[in-house]
Amino acid sequence: MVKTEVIHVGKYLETGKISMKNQVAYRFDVFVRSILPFIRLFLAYALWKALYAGQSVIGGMSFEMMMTYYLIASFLLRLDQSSGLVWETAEEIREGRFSKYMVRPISPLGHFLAAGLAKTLYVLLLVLPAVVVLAAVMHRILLPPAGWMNLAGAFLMGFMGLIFLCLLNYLTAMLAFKFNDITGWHLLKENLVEFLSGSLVPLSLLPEWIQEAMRFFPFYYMQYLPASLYLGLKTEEFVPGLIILGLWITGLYGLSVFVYHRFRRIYEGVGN
Amino acid sequence: MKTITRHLRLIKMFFSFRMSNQMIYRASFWTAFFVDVSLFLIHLAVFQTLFFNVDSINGWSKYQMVFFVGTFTLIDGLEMWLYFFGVTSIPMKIREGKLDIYLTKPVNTLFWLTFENTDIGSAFICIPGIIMIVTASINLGIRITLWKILGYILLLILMLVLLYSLMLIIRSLSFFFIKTGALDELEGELISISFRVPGVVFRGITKLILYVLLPYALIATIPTQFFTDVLSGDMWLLVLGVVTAFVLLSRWIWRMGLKRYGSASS
Repeated sequence: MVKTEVIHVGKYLETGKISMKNQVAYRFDVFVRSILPFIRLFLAYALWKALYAGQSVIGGMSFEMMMTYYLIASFLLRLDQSSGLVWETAEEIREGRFSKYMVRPISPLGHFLAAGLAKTLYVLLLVLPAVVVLAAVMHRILLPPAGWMNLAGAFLMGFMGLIFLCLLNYLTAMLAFKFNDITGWHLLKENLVEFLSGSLVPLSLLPEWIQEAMRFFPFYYMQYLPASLYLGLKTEEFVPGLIILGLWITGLYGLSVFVYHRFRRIYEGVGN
Repeated sequence: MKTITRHLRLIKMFFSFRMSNQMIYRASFWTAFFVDVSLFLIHLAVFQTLFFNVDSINGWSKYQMVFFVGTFTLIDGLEMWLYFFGVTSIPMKIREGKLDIYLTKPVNTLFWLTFENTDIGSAFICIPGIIMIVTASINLGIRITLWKILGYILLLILMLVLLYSLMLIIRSLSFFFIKTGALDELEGELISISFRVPGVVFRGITKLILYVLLPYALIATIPTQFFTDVLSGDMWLLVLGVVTAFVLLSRWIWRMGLKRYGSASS
């Protein structure tokens, strides 16, 4: 099945192009979304400025490292655009419009991934220049990458984290086959992912035993580890991280395919 | 007096209609409760994590932060119960021309839109909020007086009115722009200023912006400051001024938008 999908990759590129065009149509909307990471960075600045009063290092990080950490984490968080697709897909299922994926020679998962990654690419093109300019202007508090290898490692890990999140969001959308309303599931998941991925607070501030447990879960590698790698920290965790995240992605892919084939049987194709 | 009685009767009817509707979908009834309580528990965990590493946040102790999160949880529960779902449905009604039916009814349009989607399930969010507030008060050793309780309730009401005005301003932009989904996200980020960071950490121009121009930092900070510390006369005046200004501004933008409204073509 994977082989067939690779051969027909063109149709998913087409899906991605359409998704990109949709984004371009609502420029104001996308512009507002692209400035959101900076609000988070500003909040982090205000809070940590107060916390660092009287001390130079917290959780093994200087103030500059902390600010850079939040910039990378907010940037990666914003790159995930598949979260919005959950609402769209769930609505299509609820209203009976999902049938189109069943009769067309296209995999719903492939379509979801293509649309999500195309949106991500659009946001990346929009936000990246702003991040670079911000980093240059605020070079006194925002640090450059510890090295090119660190940057490449952070990029790879961040990308794999996005794939994982895309699959998790697809799985959440599939719950709409079973439940009428998935709002609670989706928002609950969002809240948990935000905390567990280190987007709210660096995981290095947690007690060591919690960090130890978190290394077995994929969330640790989505934002916390890429941001740490960028800063030249935790480099020894790069390879184990790739393996663990790779295993989670493989498992979640299998589960997504299984759940879709299982749940499509209960789909009636009529709107509620 | 007659008008007030009539509107109170209408609110009672809205409550009862919504209650009957919501009881059909039991799982959805508890959705807002579980989602929001999880959010605030996570924020308690965030502050606990910070207090593993520091002793205070700009002079605020750990239990003042618990009180702060509890206050926002309480405000959030009340807001979600009373008007959140009503106000957030406004853009969709503008876009799809559904506002027509509201404009033709002999009831104030905004009043109807605000209260028609009350969510009784969200009222339960207040319970963990109150638990946090009581726990923090005990640990802080606060001497509770009638004046403290009344002042706190008054500030909660003022903050609910302020939050409502801020929400309405953003939703009224739907009269002027087709797609405003991103503004919802922007508002989400701005509201997070209210409970992720206490207002006491802001200084200078930032404080001016977040206390006066985009007064999200006031929402949970001011009632907390009043109850756990001291709120100066100047701050009381500032709060009253900001709330009045934003109520008037939101009403003005709403009226401007209504003039622009062209049914389904909006």
